[in-house]
Amino acid sequence: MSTPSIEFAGHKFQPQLCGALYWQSENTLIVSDLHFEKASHFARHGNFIPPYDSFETVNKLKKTCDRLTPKRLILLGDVFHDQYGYQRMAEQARSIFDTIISGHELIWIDGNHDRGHAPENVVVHEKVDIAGIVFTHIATDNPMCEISGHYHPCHIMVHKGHKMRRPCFIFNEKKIIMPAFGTLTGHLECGSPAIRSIIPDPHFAVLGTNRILMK
Amino acid sequence: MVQESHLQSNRFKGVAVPQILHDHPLTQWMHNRGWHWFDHQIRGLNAARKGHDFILFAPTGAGKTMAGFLPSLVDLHENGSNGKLHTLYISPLKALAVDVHRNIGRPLEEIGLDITYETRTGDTPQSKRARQKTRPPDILMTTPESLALMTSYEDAETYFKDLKYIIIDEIHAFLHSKRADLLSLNLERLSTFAPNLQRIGLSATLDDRETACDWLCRKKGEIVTAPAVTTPQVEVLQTQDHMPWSGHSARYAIPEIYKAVSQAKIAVVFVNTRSQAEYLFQSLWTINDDNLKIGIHHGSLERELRRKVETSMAEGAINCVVATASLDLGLDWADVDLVVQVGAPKGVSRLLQRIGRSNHRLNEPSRAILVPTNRFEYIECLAAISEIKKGNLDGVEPKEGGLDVLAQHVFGVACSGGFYADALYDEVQKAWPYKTLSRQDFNDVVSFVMDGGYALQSYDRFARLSEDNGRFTLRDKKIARQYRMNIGTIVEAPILKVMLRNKTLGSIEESFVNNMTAGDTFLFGGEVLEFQGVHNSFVKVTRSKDKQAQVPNYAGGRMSLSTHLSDVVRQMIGHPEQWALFPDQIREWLELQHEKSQLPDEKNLVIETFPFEKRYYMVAYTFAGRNANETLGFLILRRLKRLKKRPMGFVMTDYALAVWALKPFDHPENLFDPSIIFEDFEEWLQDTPLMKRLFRDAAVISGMIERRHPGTTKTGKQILVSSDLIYDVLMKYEPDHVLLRAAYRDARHGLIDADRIKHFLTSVVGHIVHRPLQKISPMAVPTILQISRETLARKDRDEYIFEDIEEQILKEASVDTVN
Repeated sequence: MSTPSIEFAGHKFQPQLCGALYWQSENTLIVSDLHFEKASHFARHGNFIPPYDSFETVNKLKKTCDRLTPKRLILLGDVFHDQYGYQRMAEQARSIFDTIISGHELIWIDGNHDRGHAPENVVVHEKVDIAGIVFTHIATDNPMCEISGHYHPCHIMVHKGHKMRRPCFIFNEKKIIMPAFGTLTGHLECGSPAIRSIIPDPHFAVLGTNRILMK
Repeated sequence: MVQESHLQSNRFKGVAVPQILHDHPLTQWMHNRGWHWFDHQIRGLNAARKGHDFILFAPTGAGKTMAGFLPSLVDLHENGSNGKLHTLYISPLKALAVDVHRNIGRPLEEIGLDITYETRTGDTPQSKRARQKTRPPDILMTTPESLALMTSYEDAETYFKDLKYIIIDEIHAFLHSKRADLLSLNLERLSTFAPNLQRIGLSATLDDRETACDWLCRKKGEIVTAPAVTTPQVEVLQTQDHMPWSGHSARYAIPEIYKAVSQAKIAVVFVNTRSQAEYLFQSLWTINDDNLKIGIHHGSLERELRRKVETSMAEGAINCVVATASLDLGLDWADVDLVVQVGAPKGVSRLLQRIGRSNHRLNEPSRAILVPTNRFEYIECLAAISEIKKGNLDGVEPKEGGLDVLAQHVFGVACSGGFYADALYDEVQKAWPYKTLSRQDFNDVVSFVMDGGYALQSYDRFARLSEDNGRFTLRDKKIARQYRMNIGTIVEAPILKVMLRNKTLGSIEESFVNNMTAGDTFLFGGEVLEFQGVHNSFVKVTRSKDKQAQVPNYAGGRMSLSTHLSDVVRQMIGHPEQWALFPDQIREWLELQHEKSQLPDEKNLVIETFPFEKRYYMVAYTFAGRNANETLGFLILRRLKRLKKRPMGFVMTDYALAVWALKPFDHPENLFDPSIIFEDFEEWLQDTPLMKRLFRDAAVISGMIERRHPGTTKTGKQILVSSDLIYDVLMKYEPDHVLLRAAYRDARHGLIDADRIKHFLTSVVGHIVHRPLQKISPMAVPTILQISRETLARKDRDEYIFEDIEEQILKEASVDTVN
């Protein structure tokens, strides 16, 4: 089976089952909304939800990097659930994360959750422009082609007569909104007005259990 | 009115009125009205005067509330108020606390006794609560949740240290629930604060009085029983029409029900489900030639409407109320003189409690009419009546206290000023539901409260508690607010909306979808729907192409047949000498079963297999109750799929489980090997949404995630964390976490009823009788008809078509002569 791909702004992007987007011609991997340390964010307020989300998410990222061996890594905002997430990250998860970000040409896009905060020596960008495509956290009304995250889109998918709610990429010829990569992240349905107002004529790449459904 | 019933009944019977009571102004007040003390009121007082705890079992109207308050009122009169809280009264219902406040208040006001008494509930204004804290009344009437809140205050020990009596009302209504766990823990808390505190319990009649007494009382506990003056008159409704084979509609009996109702002053017609209530309410109105005032009362109705009906009942302004269990805790039933129970009672105690609430004139027997809706139910009704005559009641299944409730409590104790782990463990173990709590479980709960108690990675830097030489205290007093927002054991969300795309089809009880996994089909609103999942309290469904649903029909809110009654029914069926009571049509039905197959009895599990309409059927007469039968149905379906038998679906009643498949069953007895509960159960449990729901409840009660308060809305998509995602992460990294253990414990009872299946399957090892038949047996007919009924789309449920099918099945079973 051929790998599904999204033709966008004259380039070919390959959505991954894990929620990452691979841009082969640029050897670039894009992930959005990792929301590291979401659990410990809650723990700060006395709700002790299991502290394993960062470890789970960073391992998923590591596996993806090992498999696709990208040169460049774009983190498309909300890498951490809040501004102090990096400091809270447990050693085990953080060392994996540090190895990942130092092992790639890193582009860190600012998010709304961790605004202005990144590990030391990491440059935080509001947005970047690569090959005529803008990478930013929240979609804008910029007429340029734009790839963003933020909304955690999900789609009601019909698969073998079973309907399920799955995270997805939602796109048209001007915008791609990426799904959230993080483990404990919630979802927003694609039909919601917030998403529809940005992409009124959507296509989807829906992340199934074993395959990606393009529609 | 507290003592109204004395007007009609009860002359002074023998237990001497002690001098202290004789001299009490209440006695004079009673005499002025021509009333006397009841024996059990005096016996309760005597027990309390000896310093004993006591629990009083009495029917409504027997001066139960006064009996509870009497020791306190006597003591307050004798020793005077010292300006501290003297007596606590705990009721499971806010409204009941208010009611009791009024009823106890009347004699106090009329006599002019210098005793202060107040209520304190969630509705009490902040200013009054603050004043109650500094200047408490002598008597405070409140709920278990408000009590939990009060014991968490820092000055709780000072506040409660002079408490002399605690009265707990309606114990039968919540014994062995999570609410009772919380109350039980707080009782021990209070006893630590006030070592001489005496406990007084009030309950409707229960079978296992010793357990209820143990639950409540410390070492010197006495059981006081008000003798039932009369045995209730209970009979099965006699009708013109023949007894239906299956179904629950009671349609055949409506004229007779109407007739009985119209002869009563106020009748309550109890049904088991909401849809039955709606149906019967409508049917009675269509033949309401006498213009009776008929009302309806069930859980889906707005609270205001329900209150209106309750008020009309109290004022005698209504002739008949069609009600579900939602009315069980209704307040004033004094003038109800007839209880009609439509559908089998499912348990002896519940039936007796319902009957007992009616008719407060103790010298006349309460009257009740049972209306079975099918043949099995007829036998069940007779079994219940025979047990009432013998005075045998159901036991209440005791269960271990919830670890989630314990977590909430430990947090509360920390809020009230901290604890030593050893001392708190000792205290908790004195609470009846936690008497077998292991130190390991306790420690795990404490670490959970402290910082989540995770083994692989710690939140110690955010810990809520700090430990110093074995003493645990709140790290920051502000955290107490989090506890106080989260008190209670009732997690809302019992009703879910059924969504087909963006269309709402209606509401469904959460319990129905709990056991389903994606792809299961069920009937709703006349259509076969395919279950997709539960999302944000919506049940997502698609239309199914199948004509028949796999999962039995949505019935909603139905109780499981009690183990006790189930044993009696099996015994009655298995012993023809007991059939004399049965009407001809039932007796002939059983005789035919005896001839063509085999009768189930109290020892044997009879399984029949037969081909029918190009499919293979297996019917097992488990009599295990619908919850257990449903879980068993899912497990057997799962096992058959693995064996490639191509199972199509199952249907269950309280009495039997029927499974059908495209391939024949060989050695079906192997399906009932107890190993099924060990091998397939765990796997099924992890997949079923019910487990995630149980986990969500545990997560909310324990305070892992915050309770959603009514009226608050989601402010952003990432504010809440889905408990389902938490469950998945926790299962992966820490499957033995204390909260997962808490959820697993809950699966042993209630909707999943794992313990009952386990017990049943173990008890029938070596007693499984397989009868391979050429065609459907007489006893299988009701269950098989249930399939047709539940899978016939409602939109083409033309009565003629239906009768055709019934006809055909009866013919095949050669039982058409029975009628």
